[in-house]
Amino acid sequence: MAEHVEFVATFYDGETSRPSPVVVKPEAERLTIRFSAEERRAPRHVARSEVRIDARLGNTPRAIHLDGDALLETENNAAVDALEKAWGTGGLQPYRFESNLRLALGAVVLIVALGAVLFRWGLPFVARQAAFAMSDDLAHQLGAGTLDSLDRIVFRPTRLPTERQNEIRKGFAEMAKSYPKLPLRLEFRQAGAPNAFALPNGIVIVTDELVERMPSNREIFAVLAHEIGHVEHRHTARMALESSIAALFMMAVIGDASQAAGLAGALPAIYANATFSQNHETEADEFALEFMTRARMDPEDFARALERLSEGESEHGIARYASSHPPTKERIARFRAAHH
Amino acid sequence: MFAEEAAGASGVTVGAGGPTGSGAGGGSRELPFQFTGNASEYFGIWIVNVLLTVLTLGIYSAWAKVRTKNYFYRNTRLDGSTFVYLADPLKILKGRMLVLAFFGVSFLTQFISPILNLALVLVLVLSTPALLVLSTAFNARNTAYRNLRFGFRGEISSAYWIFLKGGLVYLFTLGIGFPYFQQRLTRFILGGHRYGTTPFSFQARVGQFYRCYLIAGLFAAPGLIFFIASMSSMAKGLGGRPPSAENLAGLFVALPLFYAGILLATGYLQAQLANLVLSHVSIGPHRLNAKLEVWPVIWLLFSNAIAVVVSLGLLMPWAKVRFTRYRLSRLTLVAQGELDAQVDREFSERGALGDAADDLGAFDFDLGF
Repeated sequence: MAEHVEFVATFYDGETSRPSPVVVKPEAERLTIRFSAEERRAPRHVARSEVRIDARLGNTPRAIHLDGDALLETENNAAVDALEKAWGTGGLQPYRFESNLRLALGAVVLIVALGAVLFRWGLPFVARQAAFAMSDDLAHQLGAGTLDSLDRIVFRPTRLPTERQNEIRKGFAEMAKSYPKLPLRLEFRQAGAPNAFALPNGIVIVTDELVERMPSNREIFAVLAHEIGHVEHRHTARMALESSIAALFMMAVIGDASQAAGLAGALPAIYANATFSQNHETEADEFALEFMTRARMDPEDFARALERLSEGESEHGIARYASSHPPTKERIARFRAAHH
Repeated sequence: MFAEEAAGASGVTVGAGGPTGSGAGGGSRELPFQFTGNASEYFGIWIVNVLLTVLTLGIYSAWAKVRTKNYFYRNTRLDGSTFVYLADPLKILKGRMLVLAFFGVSFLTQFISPILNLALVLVLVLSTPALLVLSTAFNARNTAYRNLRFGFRGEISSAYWIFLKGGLVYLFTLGIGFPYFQQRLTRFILGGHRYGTTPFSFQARVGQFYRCYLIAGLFAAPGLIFFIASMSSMAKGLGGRPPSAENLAGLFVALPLFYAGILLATGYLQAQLANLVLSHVSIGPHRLNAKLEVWPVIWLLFSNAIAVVVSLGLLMPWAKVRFTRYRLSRLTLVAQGELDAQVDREFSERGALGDAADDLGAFDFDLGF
């Protein structure tokens, strides 16, 4: 049986904010509260069943709620801990973990490991399931209207010779035959930079600048295979799911602490989104490689297309963590390995 | 009888610790705010919060929020007593689920029906004033000092008026009307609070807000002008040719000047707006007095950001404790007599809006006050 220790506290009656200094004497079935001599108030007895003690939070003052709205507040956490032990009311409290520094360090390791697993595999897995649970119609409706707005803001009509356009269209139609379920459609646009992208509704856009940079149509077909991969794997929907769930999650974890740290709070989100995007690119590369092998196309064409696209670009070490694509060298190496 | 008994039993005497009412009676006293928390203690609380939040896939975040808020409230000391946050984590969890459900639905409608999506966004925008009032009331009601809760009595209709008028002024003046809107909204929010039955009031005028922004603008202006000038001279001379050494040198000077100006202006605004707003808040006969200084605020913001990045986030608790400690060390309450107040019986229950509104107010809707 633990010993009951008296402690000093401040009593509030619940009617006013006036503090009364008191001494609290814990007993087996009640608390006895005695007021100072000046107050001339009779001691107050509160039955154990009427007492509710707040969980400990660091070394901050502890509240003991009494019957009605009355309250005791004390700085003496040790005495309240002893009281809870004697009454057997404490239970399992977060304070036990929070005040244990070795445990805290273990928690850091565990959080990093859990976070890595969750962001690396858990979230992409869930997003994938959700994206493929969507009906085909719905999935291919995403991004309707995107081309219109892009045409208004970024693109200008193509200036490619009709002949070249038709050659590429023919090859694309041939490739699309293997995916009758996808509403694939090819569009050429002038955009100021060599690029190709796929909208979730099956529209694949190739810029004039890309076509002009590739002397051989075979290299363009290699790029198109990669873009079809994005459509087939529903990457747009998955990216939207992944980045928004990640943002929500980080808000819950980091939350209001970001105020004191300014912009630094945004870095994890940038890294996470880059990781999701890089995963999708790798998946589209894998799709392209498989497609090309099946169609007896030469993987070397993809490697050469990548080389031409990355001309004049340099990749620095740290940028890798914020980049939407994996390092070009690694991507090229993968196709070259398949070639040999 | 009482004192002897206590001293005899365990050596404790009443009045040795805690608030004693100090017996000053009338007259004006300047009571300092003080922050008593420390980084290592908060680190433990923070890390357990993060771990449990991850393990429970976010559910613990409601409990984490209450614990965190309480760590800071409970360590904020005024006249020997601390503040406390009394919100029920279950309510906060419910509020968060509601918000999550809303965003989930609006996320899905964006694929199904853009019109429906637009309608939902419109609903959110149109309910902003009401949500602001509900969450302000929720937070006020769940904050207490000396066992007496704060409250908020602002009317939802007044909030709509302020947003409507402020929004129109903002639109027609191309943003120059923002300080006017900020003053009206701050007056509504802070002036609508009460401690028990003691009402708050807020006296800062619109002109004082404009003065803050004007001076901050002057700090940012030289760097901004120089930056734009050097950019445009470079663009003019360029036309396909690589930029000259002179162009690059100009940019080399302009860019740091630009960033320095922005940092200075941000620090100035943070410090002086807080001073302006807080120093014009009265609670009955008492009033607050804030004296944040610009340079320490700039240094804190800058060094905190560096520390958090370099430590990969592990110094986040340290940064937050440091920031709070500084801000509270510059805040005092100029009190007239005792800090006595009465419980607000008629309003303490829940306000007129009932349970559903209480749930709606339970999520954080923080406009940065």
